Amino acid sequence: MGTNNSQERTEKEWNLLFKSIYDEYFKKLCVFANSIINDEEEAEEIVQGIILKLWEQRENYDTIENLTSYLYRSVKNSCINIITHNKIEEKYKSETWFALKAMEIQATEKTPQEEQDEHDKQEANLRNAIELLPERCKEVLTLSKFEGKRNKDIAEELDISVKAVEANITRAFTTLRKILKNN
Amino acid sequence: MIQKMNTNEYIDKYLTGQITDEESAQLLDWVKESAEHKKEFDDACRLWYLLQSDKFNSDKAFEEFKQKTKKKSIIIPLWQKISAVAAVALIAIVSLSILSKTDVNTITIQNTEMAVQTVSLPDGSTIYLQKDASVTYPEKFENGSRTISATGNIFCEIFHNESAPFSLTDNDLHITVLGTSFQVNTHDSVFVFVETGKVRVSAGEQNAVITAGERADWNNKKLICSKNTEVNLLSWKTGVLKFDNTDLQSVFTDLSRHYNCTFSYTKKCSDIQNYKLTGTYQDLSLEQTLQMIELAIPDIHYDVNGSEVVVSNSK
Repeated sequence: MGTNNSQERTEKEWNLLFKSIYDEYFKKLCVFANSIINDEEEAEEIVQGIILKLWEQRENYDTIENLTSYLYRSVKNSCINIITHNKIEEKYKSETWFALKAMEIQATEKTPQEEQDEHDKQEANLRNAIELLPERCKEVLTLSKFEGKRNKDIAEELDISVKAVEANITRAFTTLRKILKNN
Repeated sequence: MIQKMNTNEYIDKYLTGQITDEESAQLLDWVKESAEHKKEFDDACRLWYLLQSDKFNSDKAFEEFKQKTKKKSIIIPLWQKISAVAAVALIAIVSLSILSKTDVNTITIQNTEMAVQTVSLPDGSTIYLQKDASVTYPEKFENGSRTISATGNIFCEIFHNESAPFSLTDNDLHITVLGTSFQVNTHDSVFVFVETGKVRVSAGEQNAVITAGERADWNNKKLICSKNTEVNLLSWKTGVLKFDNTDLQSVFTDLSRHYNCTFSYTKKCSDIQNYKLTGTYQDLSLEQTLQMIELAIPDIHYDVNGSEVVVSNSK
């Protein structure tokens, strides 16, 4: 048990540690949670709750062997709880689905420098490709990706259903993949 | 085995959340088949992540986190506390008894009036009691623990104090508070509802932590957590009852909790679920509220007899 380390950290060190957890994991965990429950706000709340819990129990922080798997596991469990308790529409995801998720998580997880280079390159290609999308797709994707709007808010702004927003994002994604592949 | 022409579609379906279990299994096999397949899958995943991730703002989330983890402070001025205690003393039955285990005096207050009663605890926390609810607490909180017991429908605003956890027990539930305001009802149905902050609820061997907007129901020896969807859950405390196209049956459920009364029906009114009510009623007596509802829905008539309401069809 490495509890000594936990107690030795100053308040400032704790803050830095949690800042780095937010930088590294927050978005990824939210995307993961959202893929299970399909509710952006709820996904963010779940992830916040889990990091808050980690903070409240920070005296045990150094007993966590693998932070990445701890965080993903906690998010998965919370999401499944929510599906069970709130009877939301999303159905249970199968273990096969979670096996695919595990590979997806690996695919998006890299060392920070590699990630930054790759990210910048992809981001530039993506911007060009988005220009080639059909008008509605482009509009929805711009609001979603560049303005960071939630599907619910996009639906309201464009006066279409959330399902239609999702359909446009799906279509945009499918088209973008084809465009980027041919590059 | 998936046909080559389908793989792209399966990857898209997977990432956009439309894949079936069977297709997942096929896709998984396909991805595992070769490094080339794996790369195609990985590239698609990265692109999807690029499209999805910017919706979530980690800087904003971190700011929220800093706010939430800041130490909380006491805000109620002392004179308010004193007047609340004085008011309670006038209208409440106060009994002093000695706990068998320790030598600390305990105080029990039971609300016998229709009006909601406010009780201030020695640490400045406030308890609201509905009619027939009661709370028992020590004259002084000692040894770093704050433990009270209660029955009936109560609402608590608890001062945050990490070094002295606050806990509340009734026959079934044990609630540990992590600085918060919440409602406990052990009157008709047993539940805990959290308005702000966070509480831990234990019942038997079951445990749950619920946060703002959530409730835990203790039903058939099971602890079930969910988001609260009842808008009038705290109406007895706020005095405001709100209905928005609510069917009468649900209206009566809310009224019975708000006014601590029961509803019974004469034979002829089997169609009450067909009536919907929309309106806001603030600080009214049971009789006044029923009169207002009768104005809105003239077909249904109410006779109040003490805490019993008899519903009949006036047609």
